[in-house]
Amino acid sequence: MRLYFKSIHRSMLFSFVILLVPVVITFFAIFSYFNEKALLKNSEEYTIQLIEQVNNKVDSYIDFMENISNMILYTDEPVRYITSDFKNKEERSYLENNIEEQFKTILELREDIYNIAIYGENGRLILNDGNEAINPNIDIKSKGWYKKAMEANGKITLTAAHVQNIIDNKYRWVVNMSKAIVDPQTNQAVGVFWVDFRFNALSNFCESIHLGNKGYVFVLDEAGNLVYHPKQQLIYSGLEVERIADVMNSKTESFLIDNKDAGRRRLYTISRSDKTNWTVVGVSSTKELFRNKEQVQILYLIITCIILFTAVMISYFISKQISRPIKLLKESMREVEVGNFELASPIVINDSEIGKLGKTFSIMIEKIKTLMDEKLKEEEVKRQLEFKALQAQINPHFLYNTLDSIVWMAESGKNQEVIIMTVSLARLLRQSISNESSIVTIGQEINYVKSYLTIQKKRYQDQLNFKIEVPLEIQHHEIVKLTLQPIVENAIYHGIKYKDSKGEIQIKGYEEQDCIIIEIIDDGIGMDETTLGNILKKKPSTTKNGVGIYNVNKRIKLQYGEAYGLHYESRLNEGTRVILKLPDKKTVKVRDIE
Amino acid sequence: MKKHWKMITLYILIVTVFVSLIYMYPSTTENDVWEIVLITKTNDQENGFWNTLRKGAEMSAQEHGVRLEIKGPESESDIFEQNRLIMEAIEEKPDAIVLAAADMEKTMPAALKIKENGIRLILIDSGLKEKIEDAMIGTDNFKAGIRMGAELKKYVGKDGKLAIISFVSNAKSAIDRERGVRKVFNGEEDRILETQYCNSDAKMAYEQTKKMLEKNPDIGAIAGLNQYSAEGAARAVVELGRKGKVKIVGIDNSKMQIHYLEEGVFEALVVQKAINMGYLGVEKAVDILEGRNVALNTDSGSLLVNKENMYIGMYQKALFPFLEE
Repeated sequence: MRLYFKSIHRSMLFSFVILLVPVVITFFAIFSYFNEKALLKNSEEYTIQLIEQVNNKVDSYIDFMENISNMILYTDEPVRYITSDFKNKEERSYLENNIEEQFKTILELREDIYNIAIYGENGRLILNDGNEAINPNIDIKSKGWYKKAMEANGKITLTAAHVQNIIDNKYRWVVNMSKAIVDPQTNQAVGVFWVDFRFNALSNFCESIHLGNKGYVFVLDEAGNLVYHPKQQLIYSGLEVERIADVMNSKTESFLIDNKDAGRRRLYTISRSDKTNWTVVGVSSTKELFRNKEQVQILYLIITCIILFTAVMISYFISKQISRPIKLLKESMREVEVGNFELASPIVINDSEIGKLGKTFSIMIEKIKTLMDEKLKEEEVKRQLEFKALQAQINPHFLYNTLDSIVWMAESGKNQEVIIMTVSLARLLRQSISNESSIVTIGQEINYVKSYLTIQKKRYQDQLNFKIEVPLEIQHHEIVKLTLQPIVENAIYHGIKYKDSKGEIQIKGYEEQDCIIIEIIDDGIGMDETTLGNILKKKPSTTKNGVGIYNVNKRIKLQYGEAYGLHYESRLNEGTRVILKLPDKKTVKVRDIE
Repeated sequence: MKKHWKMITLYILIVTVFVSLIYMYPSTTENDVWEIVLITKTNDQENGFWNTLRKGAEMSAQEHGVRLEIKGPESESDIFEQNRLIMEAIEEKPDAIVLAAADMEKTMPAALKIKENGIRLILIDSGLKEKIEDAMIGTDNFKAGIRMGAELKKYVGKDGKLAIISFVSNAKSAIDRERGVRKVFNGEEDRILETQYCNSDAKMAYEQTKKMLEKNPDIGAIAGLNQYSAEGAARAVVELGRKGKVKIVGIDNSKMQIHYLEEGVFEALVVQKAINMGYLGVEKAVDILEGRNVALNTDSGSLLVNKENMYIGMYQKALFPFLEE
């Protein structure tokens, strides 16, 4: 399909829109794509930082617990309590009370500690403030955390979530921190000091950072057991599955997991602690990461739409701005077409190409206007000159003289001559009235001059002779009417008339370099230089000499241009040569005279 | 010119609306919050099984974003009160009711009312005589009974008799468990004494056991078919000084039961997954409401725990619900 637009404005607007819309939309798409990538990367880095923070908190929490154990184990009381053989009861209860008092203080200060205790290999136990009912069925030595602490020989050991059953009828899930009590004398582990703490501290750390509504943080121990997980129960019940193996095997700080159920990926961020050997894992749903993105996206979309709208608006005005002068130009051209020059001048708005075009157009119209005025004036002049020429050709003087001559010839019985005279006169009159056109053929004009010369020759008897040598080839070329006769008349009245001897007028016609030359040569008295210089100038007062050479010259020039016209050459007492230059133009329209 | 301008405006409008729709779409598909009522057999705070089940249901409600209301009679044997609670729940016009039927026959009319009112019915723990529910989630009690029976068979001795302390004679869970136990003793039915029903009252179970032990000194093993039956039986055995001689296998995991297990009064406990039952009860309700396919029967599972493995791995996790205080 070919699109067709009625105006430049529309096509410009259309192209603008076609260009703008995909560009802006492509830009938007690319921007969104990279935004998504950047967002993921950003949130990865951000989550890593957050998770490290959690890890640091956990570390300092364990540090704190370790400090408690250091504080307790700094004195020799625990060792003494376990290893002493206690000769008197008071000594034992004194030590017991001391330690219990310390434990009590710690328990009062720390709500997050369930149990704090020391236990010796020999079965001596101090638990909390000493008022707890001990589970009679417990075998502490068989517990994993106890064995681990004994093996570590004085180093802190941590045990992930497990059930502590030391107190009768209380089965609590705890995290355990243990440290073997080493007898400084034998350098042997004689028992274990331990702290059981609840999950609320860990859960507070894990919940202190916000990873979106679906995001969470959990903690694993070095073996991949759960230390804390917000959905620990669900995982224990097999209702939720956590990617523990993936986390433990991961070499990188973060990885993405495709979750088919959720339909969106999850970002796992890992931070391992050198202190606790625990792994803190942050899980965030990319869907939530991108929920922010969606908001941003909508913002981008709105901005894009505004840009698009504005761009289209601007292009509408720009294209209108551009096309307006063109439209104005078009309108003024239409005025010119109708011929309304006055209304045609376009308003030039600026200096752009279109503005310049408008300016040039204005100048052109001005020129045309003046040219048309000139043309009108010329036509007027031509008409007047022609009118004068017509008036002049049947000069009453000439008519009277001719008729007088005919009467005189008739009286003297020269019948033959009377016939010639009368025929010539009749022809002359006829020719002068028969053709309304201002252009005739050279042949017609020659005939006219011939008639005129025939009459004059009879009148001047033997004093005038004439010779016409105009070849037939140029007789069909055109010439302005009534041009040759005034020249010939002028040659007779101003040249030959004043000559004493017999005068001759010669008319020659020939072609020369794309123009036609007609020479009228007389051997009359000629002219001096001043007369010659003035012959072609306007002489308004000298009307008695007929139409005048000026009239002839002017008419030729008006008709054919400045290159054509009359040229006089003359020498006093030798004669005059008039050269009439005409364009090489064959007239078609002019009818021949019978 | 005007027409053209209109076209462009329209074009931009269409593009805007189209693109917006694409981006808005995921966020507009938010569901209404489902309203679900859970009716338990008892709201006894000392009952580990029902406590845990409630916790599971609450977790599930939070996980799936539904509004959950929990009702339950004081006593497990108060069938009348449970029926009243069912009617009360129907009045509230919830989307689904998750019910643990106290009696497979006497709860039927109330359960039918639930269905008649166009409310989805999900049964947990114990079923009804007729299958009218949309889904059933519970321990495969027959399987649990077989587990108990197999364990009992190890301890009952060559000539020892087996006593069965059941709870409510018409509860489907009780019937299935007993069936499972009896299945193991197939062909030796004469070794099984008359089944006692304690009406989910530990004191009654204690008295019944005591009477039986006094009457039948050759009892080698006792099956306690629920928490109360098992607790009562354990107390009787301990009191009569028969601990270690009369072996008990119970079901469920109250604190007292765990203590008896540590003490060696119970040889083993079959632990139901109460959390899972509660959790799945609500989850399946949501699935049904949202038009997903749900199996008619879901076994929430059970596990045999003994003294040796009770603090190890999955046994520890099954025996001690991880509930933060």
